[in-house]
Amino acid sequence: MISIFAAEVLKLRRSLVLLVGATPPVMVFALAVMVRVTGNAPEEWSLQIAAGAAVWAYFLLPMTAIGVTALLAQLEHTPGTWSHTLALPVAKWKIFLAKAVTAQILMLIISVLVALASIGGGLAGGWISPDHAAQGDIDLLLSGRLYGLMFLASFLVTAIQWTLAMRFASFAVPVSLGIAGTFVAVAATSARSGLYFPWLMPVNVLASDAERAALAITLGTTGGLILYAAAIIWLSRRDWL
Amino acid sequence: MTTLQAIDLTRRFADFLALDAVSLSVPERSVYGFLGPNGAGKTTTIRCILGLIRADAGQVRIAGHDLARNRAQALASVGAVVETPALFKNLTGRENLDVTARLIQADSRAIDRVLEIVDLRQASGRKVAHYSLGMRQRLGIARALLGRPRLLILDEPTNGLDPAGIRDMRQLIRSLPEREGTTVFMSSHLLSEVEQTATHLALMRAGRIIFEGEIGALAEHRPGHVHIDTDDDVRAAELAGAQGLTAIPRSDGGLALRSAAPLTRERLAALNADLVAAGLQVSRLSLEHGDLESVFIKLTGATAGDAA
Repeated sequence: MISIFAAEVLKLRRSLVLLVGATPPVMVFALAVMVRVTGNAPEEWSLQIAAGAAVWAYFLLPMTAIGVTALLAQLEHTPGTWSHTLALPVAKWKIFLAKAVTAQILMLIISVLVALASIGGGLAGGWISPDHAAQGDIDLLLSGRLYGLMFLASFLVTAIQWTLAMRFASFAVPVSLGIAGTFVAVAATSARSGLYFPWLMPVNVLASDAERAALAITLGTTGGLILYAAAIIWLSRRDWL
Repeated sequence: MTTLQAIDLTRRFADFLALDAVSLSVPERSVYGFLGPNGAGKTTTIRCILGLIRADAGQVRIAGHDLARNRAQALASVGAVVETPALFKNLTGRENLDVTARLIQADSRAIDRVLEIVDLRQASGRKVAHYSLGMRQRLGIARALLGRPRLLILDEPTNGLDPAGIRDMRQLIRSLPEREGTTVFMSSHLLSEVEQTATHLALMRAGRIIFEGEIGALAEHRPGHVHIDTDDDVRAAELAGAQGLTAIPRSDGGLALRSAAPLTRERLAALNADLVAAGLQVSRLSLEHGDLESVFIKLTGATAGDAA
């Protein structure tokens, strides 16, 4: 299984997946610098971290899931690639599992980079404009907890994007659904039933109601794992024409 | 000994019967041409053999292993290039091979070995995006050879290649049974391709196998006619007619004789005996065969373009 995963990682070399993965941290860093320099950033580090996490959960995280899973799948959707990969003497489910793990690890790495970029941007902004520098100690624990829980809560939305991206050769289907899901999430943020909407589960990590946040994390994680398992079985058994 | 056996493979897509009890028997170390017009079901058969699609009925045995019951062991004996060689253009040739070597846990030294076979060692450090189509085809074959397969399946391996690339590909395919001990199963819709490369042949039409055997055996299906030159065409035509042969005057003199029944050596000997017994001077009596192209068109109902 490790060698299959190593092959998946090797496929990413010089690919556009890495460009897509680098974009969110760069954007968050630039935004954090600008907001800090212009004096529009919160004074407290904890608020700065929470604001960065909100931008990530609302918009960048679902968009990143769209981009990462679509590009991962597109590596295989070129004519003949699935035929080659799935005709190897390797269990098909192992190949799809390695792809799912790769997608989740990329999302985890990007989450960590975004968390660091949010803090780094705040520090850089404060260095450029000392009058607007954030006060107090940097709460790394808070940052790790928020981004970590958002990563768990996003399992379901990433699994949805991954399944569609693997199934359809055209990226139009997963990208369209992802954009629609992100739009509905923004529009339905305050809706009570929004908790059950996969694209809103990472956002609900920030909910003031602890039970609501816990439920979002539980639903997102378990839902994602169940969907991944079901999709891997289905993809392994279907005909590849 | 057979490397690949397909037994009564049947596959239906909605109302369309794509494979109708397809049976194949591919001898070890042969170059087996799998020929048929576009849409005959060749790629569907290959996909069934590779386990990419399930047959509704039938069985595939590769190197003695039942594909349905023992997929990993069966496919461990196979290397394949289906459709175009699917390569990762962001990677170099060597990296592409490395991906597959990791997936099948092949020895890393195998990469140099297969690069040598397809003569791509010098170019292996270049990104595949900069390869010509011929180089990509060869790299695809190199990748298929990584696991030292007993059976190499190539789907239309010369598609899109220039004449030099086609020549190189033919040489490579012909060399593999002796050089690597590999049995080559190659599909094509071009008779000329198979004729110049294969030792064995199967012809497919509308989801059915209509001929399978050594390529020489196909000659028996060639439409033939007899050319005779005598000193009396009228009398010769009468004698031929008595043996069920239709005589047609040839533009270069003499007669061309045709028959619905096979023109065997025995029939020709009997005709010659009759001609001589009737006192005719026979200066020529020869059996002229049509080429394989006409056999292909006759058996498959393909167009002349498919046979070219």
